[in-house]
Amino acid sequence: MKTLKISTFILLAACFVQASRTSPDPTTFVASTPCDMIPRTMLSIPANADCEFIKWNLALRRDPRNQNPTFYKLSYTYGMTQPGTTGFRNGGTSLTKEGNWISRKDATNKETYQLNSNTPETSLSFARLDDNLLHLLDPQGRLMVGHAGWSYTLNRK
Amino acid sequence: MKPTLSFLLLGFFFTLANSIHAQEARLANVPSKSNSRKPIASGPLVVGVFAGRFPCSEIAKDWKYPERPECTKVKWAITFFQDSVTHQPTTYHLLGTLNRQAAREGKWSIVKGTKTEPEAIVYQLDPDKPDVSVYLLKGDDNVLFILDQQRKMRVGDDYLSYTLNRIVN
Repeated sequence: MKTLKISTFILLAACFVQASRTSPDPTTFVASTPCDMIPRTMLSIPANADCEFIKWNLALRRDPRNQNPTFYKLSYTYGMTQPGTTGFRNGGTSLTKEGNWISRKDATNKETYQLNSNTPETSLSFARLDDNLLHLLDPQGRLMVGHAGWSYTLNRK
Repeated sequence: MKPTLSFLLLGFFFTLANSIHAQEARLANVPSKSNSRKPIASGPLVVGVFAGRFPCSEIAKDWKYPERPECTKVKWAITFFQDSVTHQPTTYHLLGTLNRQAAREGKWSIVKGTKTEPEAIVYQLDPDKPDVSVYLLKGDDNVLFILDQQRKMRVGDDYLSYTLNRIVN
């Protein structure tokens, strides 16, 4: 009986620790961006796909004990505009990416968030503009240039 | 600004605004080409032309326009002019959907500092009228971010951001 109580306590404690690591809400950034070839490659969108714009929903999680970056989940939808709306014709095509992310600062103290840093071909990097804004970077680390319709800035939800 | 040039720029902008969805996917990270049949301003007097769309309500409030629920987005195209010899800022020309009747024009200058970055480069439209100045943070040569009146970053939504992008012929 005593062994059962101890086992139950350990199990509950483990569940509590696990829950406390993942329970804080992630910081979420959203945007609609152009569908140029660079983001197509990063997001595995076929080069010949009908794609006018991409809707992004990026959830970034941190370890609540030390605020270090942990996991991300990127949900995105691409396709053609449904005229007169902010959505997609036939709902678009929705995909997700998940993995680890890291944060690093350069010599000028500018902070960059990098998703999937160990797989360069599908890695995504963002300049952290402030607490509420990220901006997609190209593979050379330059700000992605949007057009007159959409930009590559992600906004905190 | 001569009336003829204003008319040409106005025509360009509204052609541009109606052709947003006709943008082709670019292979590289370069400014997009204008879809206007009329060329946009260029040459030694022009620093650049920047365009974008962003949510309406904040800017309408700043410009003291009456609140209109149907105003969901604003389109801007700003042409920055410079002295061809000294490269110092001279005038700007702002065409937008909030001011369809007449382009907003005036002087612009380069100042330093946002609310959080004292060394950031900021373009200030109408520095001689600070209560109606527009502040734009220079991200790089091709990207500008629209700041609020306290020079803080503005946060957009899941469809539009407060960002302007360079466009070229």
